[in-house]
Amino acid sequence: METVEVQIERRTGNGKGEARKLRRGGKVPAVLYGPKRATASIAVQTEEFERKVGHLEGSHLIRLVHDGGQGDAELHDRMVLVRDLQRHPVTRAVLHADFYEVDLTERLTVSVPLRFVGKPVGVVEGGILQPIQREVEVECLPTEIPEFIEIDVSGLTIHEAVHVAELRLPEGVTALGDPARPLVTVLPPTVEEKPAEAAEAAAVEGAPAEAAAAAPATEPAAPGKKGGEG
Amino acid sequence: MLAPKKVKWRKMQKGRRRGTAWRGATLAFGDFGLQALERGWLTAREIEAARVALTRYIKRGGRVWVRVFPDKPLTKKPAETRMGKGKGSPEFWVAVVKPGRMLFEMEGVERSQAHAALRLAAAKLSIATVVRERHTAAA
Repeated sequence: METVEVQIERRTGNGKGEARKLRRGGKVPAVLYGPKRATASIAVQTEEFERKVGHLEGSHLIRLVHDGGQGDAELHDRMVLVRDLQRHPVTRAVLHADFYEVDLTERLTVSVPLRFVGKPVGVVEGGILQPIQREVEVECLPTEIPEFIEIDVSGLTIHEAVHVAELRLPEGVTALGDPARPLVTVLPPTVEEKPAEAAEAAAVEGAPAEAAAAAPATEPAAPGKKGGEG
Repeated sequence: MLAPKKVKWRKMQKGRRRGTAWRGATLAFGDFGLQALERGWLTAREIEAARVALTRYIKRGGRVWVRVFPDKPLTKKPAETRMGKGKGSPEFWVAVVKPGRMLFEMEGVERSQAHAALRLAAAKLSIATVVRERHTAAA
């Protein structure tokens, strides 16, 4: 996997006021932490971050560069993973990023996205491919993190599933969690309800039982007891 | 139409719909979704109309999730009634929606079909919406 390089700068001041000033100035507030280092408040250029990191899925190794390489040793040339990324729910703009410094010689646990390849037999028969998990947790060295894991689903029939144990992982990568856990399945086709038939069926069925069941639900639709007053 | 089975209180105050929806604002189930861009109340009737539009368009194949539930009762006074004499009677159920809220999600359909279906559903709603999709959504 390719290593991305991102310029960072040390950030002074904290709180939402400072963070908002930064964002207005085209930067994203971020934090850098790890098991073997003190936490540092940093900032990255929004445009650069979106271009290089924003579109990535899964865990990618990123090299942080401080002030073009002239910065202090505590921040310069750090290998990190994006641990958390906050985005605005409507504009999708990046609000904050968490960088997690990793030791390149130590195995770590990361989530890797799954990609489903092929058209399942069950889908040809009318079923629906239903991913149960879209990511899987694996343990590996930071330099060996796969970009994604492919699952060939072309042989799946309706109600069949691919499980964690059936994953084909690259060398040095081990899947975590229950091996019997399903990752993707093919559901039977959904049948579109026909309003006319449903109404007929309702009329045929016991009316008092249905009315009793529907009474509290439909109360607001009917005029209330005090509606006519005044 | 969607409505609560049982409620503790029949009538509710109006309330305000301030801020953005920080929860329920991402695609949680499907590959495609319809996200609210405005705040407002969606009636059970609107939600049902949009759901029917979605399911009719995709016919069979594909799965739809409705991510909002109309759990707020709205009251209305009868026509030609003088003011006073208490709050009106419950008439509708609405879902309180803030910008960013994911309203519907769908999966198991092609991209073009999903977009077309969600556009049809959006036309049934009283607020502006946008179609969202996952990075990895099937083309």
